[in-house]
Amino acid sequence: MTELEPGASSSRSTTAEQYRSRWWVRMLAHLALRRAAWTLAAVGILTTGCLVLAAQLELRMNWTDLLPEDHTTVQLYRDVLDRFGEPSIVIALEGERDAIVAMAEELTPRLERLESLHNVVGKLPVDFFRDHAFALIKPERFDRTLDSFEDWTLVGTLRGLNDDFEREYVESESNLRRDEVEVARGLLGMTRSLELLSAAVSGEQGPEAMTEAADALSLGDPWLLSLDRRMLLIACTPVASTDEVDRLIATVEEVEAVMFDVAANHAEVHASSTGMGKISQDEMRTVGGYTIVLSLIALVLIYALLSRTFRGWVMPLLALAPLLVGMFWTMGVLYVLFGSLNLFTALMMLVLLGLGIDFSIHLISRFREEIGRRAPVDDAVATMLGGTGSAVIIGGLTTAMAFFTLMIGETNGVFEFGVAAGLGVILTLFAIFVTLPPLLVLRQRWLARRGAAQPARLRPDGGYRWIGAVAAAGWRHPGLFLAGTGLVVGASLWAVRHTGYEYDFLELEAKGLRSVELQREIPGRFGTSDHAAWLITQTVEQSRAFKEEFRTLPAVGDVNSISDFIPSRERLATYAPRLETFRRVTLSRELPAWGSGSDQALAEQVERLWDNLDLMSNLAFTAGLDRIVQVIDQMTGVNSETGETDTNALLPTLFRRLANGLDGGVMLPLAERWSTRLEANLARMTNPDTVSIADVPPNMVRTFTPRVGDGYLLHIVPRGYLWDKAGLERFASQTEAIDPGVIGSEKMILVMMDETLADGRAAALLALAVIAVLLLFHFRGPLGLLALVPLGVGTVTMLGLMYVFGMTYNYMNLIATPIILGIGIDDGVHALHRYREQRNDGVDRVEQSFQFVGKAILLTSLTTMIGFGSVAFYEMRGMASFGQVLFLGVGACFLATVLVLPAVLRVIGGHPKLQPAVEPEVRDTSYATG
Amino acid sequence: MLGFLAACIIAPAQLAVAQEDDGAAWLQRIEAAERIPHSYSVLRQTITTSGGSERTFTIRAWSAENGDVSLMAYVEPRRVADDKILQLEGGDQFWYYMKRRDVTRHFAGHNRKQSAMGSDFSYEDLAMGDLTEDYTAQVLDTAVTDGVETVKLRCTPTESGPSYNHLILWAGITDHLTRRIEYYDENHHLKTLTLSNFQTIEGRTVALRLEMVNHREASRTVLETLETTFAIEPDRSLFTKAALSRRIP
Repeated sequence: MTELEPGASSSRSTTAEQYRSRWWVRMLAHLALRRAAWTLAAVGILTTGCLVLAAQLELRMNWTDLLPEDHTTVQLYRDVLDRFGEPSIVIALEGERDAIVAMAEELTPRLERLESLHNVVGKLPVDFFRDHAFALIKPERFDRTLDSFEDWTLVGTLRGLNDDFEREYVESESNLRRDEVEVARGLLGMTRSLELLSAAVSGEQGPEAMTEAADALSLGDPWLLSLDRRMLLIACTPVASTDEVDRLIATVEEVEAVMFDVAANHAEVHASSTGMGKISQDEMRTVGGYTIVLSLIALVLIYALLSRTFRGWVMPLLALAPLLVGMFWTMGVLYVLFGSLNLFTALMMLVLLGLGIDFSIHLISRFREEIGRRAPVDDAVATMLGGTGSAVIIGGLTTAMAFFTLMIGETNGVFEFGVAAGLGVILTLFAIFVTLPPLLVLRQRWLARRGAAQPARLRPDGGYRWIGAVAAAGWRHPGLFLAGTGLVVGASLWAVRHTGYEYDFLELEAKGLRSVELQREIPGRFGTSDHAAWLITQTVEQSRAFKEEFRTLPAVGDVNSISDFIPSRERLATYAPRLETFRRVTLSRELPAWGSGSDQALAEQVERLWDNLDLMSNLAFTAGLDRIVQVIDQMTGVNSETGETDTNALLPTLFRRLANGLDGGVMLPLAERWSTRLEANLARMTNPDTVSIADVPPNMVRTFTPRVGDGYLLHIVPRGYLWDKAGLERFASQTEAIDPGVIGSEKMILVMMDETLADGRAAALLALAVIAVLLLFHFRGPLGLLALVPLGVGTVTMLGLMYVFGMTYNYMNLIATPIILGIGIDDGVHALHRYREQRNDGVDRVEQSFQFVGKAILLTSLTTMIGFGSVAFYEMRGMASFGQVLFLGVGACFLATVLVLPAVLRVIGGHPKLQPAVEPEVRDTSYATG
Repeated sequence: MLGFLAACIIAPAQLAVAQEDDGAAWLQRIEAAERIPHSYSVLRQTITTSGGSERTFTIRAWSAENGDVSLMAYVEPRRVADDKILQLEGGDQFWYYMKRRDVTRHFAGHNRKQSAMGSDFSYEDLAMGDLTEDYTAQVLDTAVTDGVETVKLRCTPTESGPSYNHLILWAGITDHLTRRIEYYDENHHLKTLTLSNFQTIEGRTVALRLEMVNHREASRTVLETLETTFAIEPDRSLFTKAALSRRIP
């Protein structure tokens, strides 16, 4: 007599009695049968409380939240962030140079008035540089810079510049490389100066433009402009730290409100923002909204699947309600434990939805089966709990244990996900076992009152014959199936070694976000990365010494230091005699006034400048110094591709205007304005007085000094955007060779990938060990380890499929492997369980067991895949890849169970431990879903 | 048996090294083997920066007086087409001519150790001609380099020699041709030059591919010879400043 045969009621009662002998079955059955309303009321109150807590959960999308807290490098990084802050909001203004500068002039003071901002760096402190410029020049450039300004007339200045170029740069590509940043910035100032000169010469601007022209040449352009001068950046450091998510987001919103308000007066400027703070805000908006939408879609899909399977609309609701209760409990507990959700734990709702529904499906199926066989409700509840419930608990605990193994993770993200997922599974399991039986009992009683207590007897479910047929084929042709498996596993193992790692964090962000696009665009347009690595130094002199060391590194594009604003006393003592002489003697000289022949001399110097700049550009081109090439080519009009010259560019136009001859008297006021302003500037620039930190503009001081404590921050800017491991490691190794205390996001990315990889490996091994122990215990012997076969094949195939679909490993999907171990094992457990109970022999045994269990694991796999599949549609590509990998993994484990396990069973076949049990203690009837 | 055969083959070569382990003699042999009185070549220079970007130049090159004078003219890319570099006095004097602006600038000799036109070769690397004058050498060992039995020399620059602290040079024991050079300063291995694709052209065996890897910059430059001849001696007037602005047929 099989358990599905009619007339087995006495046997079932006996079984129910056996189950009731277990205390937990008795207790849960009592709550469901005798205290159903009270139980549901208590669950409702508890759930409400958890909802209140869950509502306070913060969403922390910052990847730094995932870093290991006790890692020395991470502690140093956090120390810098806490003490010095970082410019996590960067405003980018795009448009013509004059338009973006006009907006920046209006916007910067308004930003400086915001109390939520600790610092704003927009315009460089021109007056400070005017008073100390020569004292701040590096020794190797000091003499030649003074030499080049010995004649401050218009012609004399250009002659001095030409002499200097020919002496220093035209002949040496290495000098250009050494001074690339300074040269490029200086050239931007020169561009502005020549642009104003050309406009004044043509009459487009009045003589007063020559004042700004002289300033631009001697002091540079005061704004942080891109090399094409069509983007301007303003860096804002919020008072809130990166840990204070709500305050940080509020600051971003406040800054943007001001920015858009000012932008309303500047229609020709496109204003946008970026930086870690802005990206966090975008991520929260994206993830928050998507989580709700995708959860609803997943719910609807699962509901539709269950409605079809259960042939009705009520049962799916009963299946989902306890699951939602479990999810709310989990959120409440997570608030108590962590107070926030990180990138990983934010996915929990969807993961639990996919996983938890399986528990409900198995239990409801068994309850319906027992009721369909006309069993009394109390017997049906006991059998559901003690029979199928035991298997569900074992499966759930296995999954939870696999998740808990992630707690060995060094990184916060992996640790918190381990806790959240493990607790989530257990809480969901508990919520379903407490909530579902009363709901089923109440519904049954309601049906009874309506006279439908004994629904039409459920006919035994036929399962899916096609799955049984596939399994039977595996049994009949084990060699073929195992050889195929070997090929797939072999190819997947090859693919595992050839799948790349994604070190470009921007590739994990949502596509189409302007804040993310700017992160990639800024290094290209400005010639350096927009963020720096840092080193804390103790003195200004130490900063100076380190700056000189770091700036020689090939991977370093620029170094910013407090010493840029404070010359050393020794250096100033060396400079002072020359500066005083320049002031006293050189500047007191009477220089020839603009006269006849000056026009031609100016034209000659402009042409010479054109030659020199073009030659410098060619040297820079062959050397790959693109920043210099770009700035010079804008002046000379050279097209890098064709080598042809645009005659309407700045220098050709200026030369043409001068060479064609000017009306008498046009140049005199221009030249006089130039000389007067430059002479005045030089008188101040040659100031030999010492400079202390009190003289440095406050916003510059705040850039380099901490809010609390001592020290100075050195900003080491990478040459470009670092997106690959080799580049990140090269930057890290070069900078660490000078001082191991260098810290920054580049190093953090390496730490994060290494730690996540290590965490993933360790957790996978531990999860495997825990699962093996549970299998040995549950199946009471080593044959239980057969359940690992489809898991192993499925997991390796999942990794192979990643390669096939062109995916790369990233810090989010790296932990998919230990997770899939916890989830994927269920298929093998249920299949082996069912096979062991099947009471016929040979191929019939495989065919029939897989026909039934195949349908159940297909259904549960599909619901899990819907859960993970919905994650795969996140806009944030890192999170999406997590869902995509697990989607593939769950599918691969199902296929491996159906295709591989029967062949393995055939090979092992005949083992006494696998012979059917006469009276199985625990009967897994989850296959009977109809 | 195999060991005996191997000993028979290798022993004569080792004997040669043992008999003539004088570094200076090896430098003379290498110099003699690599001395090219005059040549004309078309070269392709590919520079790969640390960031992975690649720039390729096609260059025509003439040399005479055993390499003491040379002229290089860019063919591609178009931006630098017809720009020329003239080198005189064994690399002590350089001139750069830019076609687009029709201007010539002199490069002083003190820049010899600097990068030559953005490549990983310095001017002194390119001008490396008179080994016996520029270096003293010490035989360190024998080794097999790219399947060729080589002698390993430590070359120390003389006072008038290049700026490196020392080089480690591998040269073929039988053909005396350089196979690899490692460049060092006091503390670091700076660069490695690997010569390959040896072919015999007009009776001379030369390396048609030179690869310089810059370990400090993580960049590399590959110089490939696309065509070459040693048969025609270039006109001496080619190696003058005045000729820079002239079109070369």
